[in-house]
Amino acid sequence: MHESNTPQQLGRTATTVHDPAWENAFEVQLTGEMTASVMIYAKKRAEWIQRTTKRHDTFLARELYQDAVTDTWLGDVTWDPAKVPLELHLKRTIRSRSAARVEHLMQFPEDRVRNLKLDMETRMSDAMEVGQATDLTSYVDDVVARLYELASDDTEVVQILDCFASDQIERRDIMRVTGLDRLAYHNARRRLVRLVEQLPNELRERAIRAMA
Amino acid sequence: MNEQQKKNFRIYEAVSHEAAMDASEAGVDLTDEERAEAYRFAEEFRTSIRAKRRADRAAQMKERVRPSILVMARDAVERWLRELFAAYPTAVIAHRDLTELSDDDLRTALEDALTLIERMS
Repeated sequence: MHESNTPQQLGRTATTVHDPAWENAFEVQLTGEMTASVMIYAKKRAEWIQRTTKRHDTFLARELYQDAVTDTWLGDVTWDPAKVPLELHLKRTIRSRSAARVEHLMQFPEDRVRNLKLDMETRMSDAMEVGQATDLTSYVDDVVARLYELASDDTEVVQILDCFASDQIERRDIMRVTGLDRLAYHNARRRLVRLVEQLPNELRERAIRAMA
Repeated sequence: MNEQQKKNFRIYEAVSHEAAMDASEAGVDLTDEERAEAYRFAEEFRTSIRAKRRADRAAQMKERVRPSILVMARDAVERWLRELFAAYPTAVIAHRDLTELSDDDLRTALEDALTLIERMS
């Protein structure tokens, strides 16, 4: 993994030309505080990838947020300042890339085995690796089943989970489908996040107990 | 993945997103070092952008401003512009306050003024 502490060369894509208003919006919105917020998001998503794939990568969070910024500037991903703030655009870019990474490893577990083999810290026997790779989808199934179980008394959280299942992920869509108002949605979302924060430990502990 | 597994993945992914959004909105979970790194990255990126924009402006100016003006010193450009303002007091020329302008903008202003006068004559 290439480590970079400095912004990449801005002129990599010589043909990309933004109008001055676009460049001005990019420069104005790329503040330290905004970047820190995007970095937190990237860090959480990197942790999620690592938790799912069991692959440790020290520089993954940095790669995610720095690539999102650089690729937006270079025009490799399109940002329309009139439609969405830079911060949200960067988080969406990171979301899409990290989701694609996990989904790919779920669909092609042999790639994950190859990655694991390259990772010195997680070297294991081939048999164990194959076993874990094929378990990835069942791990996700377990997590989701446990989420529904934990939320069984909370109709609003269950409604939100159902929306996610049918690919309705935007607040406006969820509110429309569930009939929740803004406050009810906000509170239900908070309860869901609290539920999720505790989930991995619980599952990990269960796995440890099962192995003991 | 079958249909149910796809649905489960969508839920699994979306709750991870919500948790990450929640953490970033709360502004927690960064060490001082990481926060400093984020600020440094943004600052260095903005510095690069400003340098690139300056270079773009300089390149544009070279295409737009006649070479005889490009080689002039600031004093000479200011003097010429003041002479033009005096000679054409009613002409609509932007930036009569020359002290506010950068050297490049001053040369562009002289080019614009001369072009305007040439068109009028």
